[in-house]
Amino acid sequence: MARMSEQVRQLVGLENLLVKARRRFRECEREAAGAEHPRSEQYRAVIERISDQIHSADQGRLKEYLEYLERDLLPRMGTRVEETLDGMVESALEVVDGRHHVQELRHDYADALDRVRAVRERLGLDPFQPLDIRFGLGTHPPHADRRLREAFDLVKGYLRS
Amino acid sequence: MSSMRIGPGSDLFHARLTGKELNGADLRKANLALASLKEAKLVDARLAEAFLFAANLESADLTGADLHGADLSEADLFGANLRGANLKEADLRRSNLSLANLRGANLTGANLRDANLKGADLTDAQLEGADMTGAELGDGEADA
Repeated sequence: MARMSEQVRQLVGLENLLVKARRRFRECEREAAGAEHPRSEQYRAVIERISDQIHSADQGRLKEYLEYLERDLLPRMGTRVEETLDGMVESALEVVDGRHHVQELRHDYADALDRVRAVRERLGLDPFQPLDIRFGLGTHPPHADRRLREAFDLVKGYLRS
Repeated sequence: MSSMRIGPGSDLFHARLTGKELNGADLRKANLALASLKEAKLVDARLAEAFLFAANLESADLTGADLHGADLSEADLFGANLRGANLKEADLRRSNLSLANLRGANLTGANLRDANLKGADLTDAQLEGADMTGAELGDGEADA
């Protein structure tokens, strides 16, 4: 386990909160089903403010953070991305049930890919490497691995249909 | 942070309020998302419809607080004292209420999906219409 400075720990904490806020924002959208959810704007604002805090971190901190990402977090990224993919699987299942439009699924999928590509780009890695290589970087738990494969198979199947 | 305004509708996003004395404070509809309120004193505080997403309320004293309709999703309420608090229709999904004191709390219609209630004291708590899907319950759950 790489040693983290307090500042980097704060950045990682903010990233985790960003994932949670995005998940809640998507839940609000789903719950409102096209109408305005009373909390949507608050979650949008939270996402923007956390993003601003991460982006406004000084170069030294960001460099340390990226090093931490590369050394320690990226190898475990399967677990982190799993959270996003859980949302995608959920959406896919809703499509199966005929309750959701496929366009939203495309959006979730594109969003997940963009985020992974952005991290890879910041680390100077090829952002367009095939997904199975990208997620095969480390030793995330077999459960996460299986879930990733299931999610991508499911989502790709729908995108092709 | 010294000039922060504390009142109804205040923007206290990510504010550091650890251990603060806020007993009886009127914070209705305030934005307290990500705020650090660890061990804060919020006895009888008015927090109806407050936005407390991912706030740290670990060991906070919220005895008798009004949290009606508040958004406490992802909040950390580990060991918090919520005795007699009004949490009617509060959003507590994925919150950590482990070892919290919820004796006599009103959780009517609250959303407790995937919340951690391990060791929480729910004696005499009102839970009519509360959604507890996926919530973790362990020692200390209501024995009614």
